[in-house]
Amino acid sequence: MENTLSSDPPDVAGLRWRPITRDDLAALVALAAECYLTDGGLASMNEPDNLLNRYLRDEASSGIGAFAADASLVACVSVRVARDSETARAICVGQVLPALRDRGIGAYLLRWSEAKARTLFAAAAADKRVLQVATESLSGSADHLYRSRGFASVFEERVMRRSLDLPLPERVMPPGVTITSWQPALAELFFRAYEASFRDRPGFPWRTGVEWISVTADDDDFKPEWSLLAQAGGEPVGFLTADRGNLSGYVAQVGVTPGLRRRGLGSALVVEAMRRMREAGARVVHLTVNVNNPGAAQVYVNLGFDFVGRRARYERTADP
Amino acid sequence: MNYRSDALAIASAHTLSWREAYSGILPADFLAGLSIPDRARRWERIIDEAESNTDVAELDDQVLAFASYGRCRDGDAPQHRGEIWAIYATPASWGKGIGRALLRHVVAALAAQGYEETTLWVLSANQRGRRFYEANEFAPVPETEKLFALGGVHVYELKYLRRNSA
Repeated sequence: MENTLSSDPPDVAGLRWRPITRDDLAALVALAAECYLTDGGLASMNEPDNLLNRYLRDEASSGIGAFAADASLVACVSVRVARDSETARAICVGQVLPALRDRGIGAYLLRWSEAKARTLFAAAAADKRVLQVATESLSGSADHLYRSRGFASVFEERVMRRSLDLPLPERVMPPGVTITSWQPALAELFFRAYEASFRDRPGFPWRTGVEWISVTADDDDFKPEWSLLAQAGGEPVGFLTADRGNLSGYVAQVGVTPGLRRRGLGSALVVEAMRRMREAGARVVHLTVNVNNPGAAQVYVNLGFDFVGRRARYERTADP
Repeated sequence: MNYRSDALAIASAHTLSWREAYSGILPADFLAGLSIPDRARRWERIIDEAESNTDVAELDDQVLAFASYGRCRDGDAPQHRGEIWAIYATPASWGKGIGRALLRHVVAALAAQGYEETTLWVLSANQRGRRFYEANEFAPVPETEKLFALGGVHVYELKYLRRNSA
């Protein structure tokens, strides 16, 4: 399979390839910003800490970058291996400056990742070896490239955004439903609402209440005042969790239990959260919705949200 | 990144940047007399009011560069236009890509807030600054030059504008 010629970087004039390190963070921030402006996605993924975590997490991450004559970074990729009990997964992240696309750089980054993954796998004892491409700003040509190399999409969600400058639509809570914002004493009820709302979703991750509460509320950006529990007759019937961003709000999860669906509760929760975000000075709200959930996407479109990007995971079995 | 404790560090970076960037443009005694504590108090207020975002680029707790940005303050600006209210890098960090990274990060942050364009004002005589903005897709807006008083002299400033996406 190995074609030695294919290991050479594409012939793009003036680029210098070398390993990337934490000293390249400023250049990585600039490249991520340029890609975001073309591809969209979640702006929080461009924060320096987030970029470090994805590209240069620790000693086990290894990456290369292409630098232009003015020392700016125009493309980079990083690979690290994550293991669970039976699978070793090589996770590849990469970006190419929009102005330099369609010149074979992305294909080279992927080939480099595949070769690097082989060496990293050599040290990993596991039954199954999987290559994963993780992207926070998927472009159409990247999707084509991954599929042409045998990858299949295993997860994709669309990023949606709505300006809070625009008037908020009116959405009335269904009769008998009361709303309370997050407080630690209610965390268990939030979890019950989450579990009852999402257990029928494909790929529902079974988590304990302790795990879900910790993942939700221990985040530095978690905003209890914007996170809402809907109850009816003393039972949790819906919920919304939210984070705070840069003069912005992020709706992390919204769920409605099966018995209360199609009565406008989800929309009413989102509108109430947006009202609170706007009062706190946020200008814009973001959320993500899985591509396998077009009904939810339509609810958000009806509330004035636009599609502003895609994040995705692609996988294939690694060559033996 | 709106940390109040950054006010003093920002004020220090701000003052050092002014002294270097505006040397030969603004009077030397005015630049020498700039007070870091006074400026820190102003930055505390700006950060507290949270009308704009204030982001810093740091290394080992030293502020190398900072930017303040938000809605466009020009009276005639359309709603989809954001503005970089201030962006400065300390002279020691010039030429290392720090300012470029921060500028692009700020444009992306404004785009994420729904702004389709970014504007900023630069002293017309600040050639270094103007080259920097022009290398980052900003273009001067014709006939926007205006005169104002600063440090006991009159200086011109000029508006720059860029689209936030391709």
